[in-house]
Amino acid sequence: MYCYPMYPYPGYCKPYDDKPYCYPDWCDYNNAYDDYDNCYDDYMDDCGDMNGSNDKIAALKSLMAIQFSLLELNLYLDTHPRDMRAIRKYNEYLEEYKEKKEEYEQKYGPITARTKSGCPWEYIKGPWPWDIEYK
Amino acid sequence: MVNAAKYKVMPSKFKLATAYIPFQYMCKLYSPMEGLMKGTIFPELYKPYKKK
Repeated sequence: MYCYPMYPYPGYCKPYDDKPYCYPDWCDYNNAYDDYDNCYDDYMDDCGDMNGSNDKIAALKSLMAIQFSLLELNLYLDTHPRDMRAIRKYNEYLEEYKEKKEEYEQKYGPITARTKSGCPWEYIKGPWPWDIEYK
Repeated sequence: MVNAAKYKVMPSKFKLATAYIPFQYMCKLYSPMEGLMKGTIFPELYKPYKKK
């Protein structure tokens, strides 16, 4: 399980700390704390509820299900590129996937790193897939 | 001499020592969640091992 790096590094900010860890002397940024103000916003400790709520797991599971259907249709269409029914089904599922993914990310945070992030970096916030107990 | 083709196991246009795979056509689909649990969304490909 990954929470915070155990060592302070230049620019490192712990939640509820008043200042980020100092930059080395040779670095101009020692007087530039202002840039990091947004790091002090109250940041939910990511070690708290490692399994997430039931709603979150249900949402994640239905996302995984639809992703799997997309993958299956993808493989099918690779060998049946003119099956109009399959294409229609694929597009339908893709729409649904996009909607659900957006809803999930707004509620619970990013699924991949290819999403805009606040500070601190939201992607490493737990739980990771292998930390979750699916039922 | 044993010759499978002679016994009409398959139509004779199929050659010996050549592998054939029937072409799949999509018919019905499992719902996404059912598919995830079964490992395929195509009912014709769902072949679970039977429990002893």
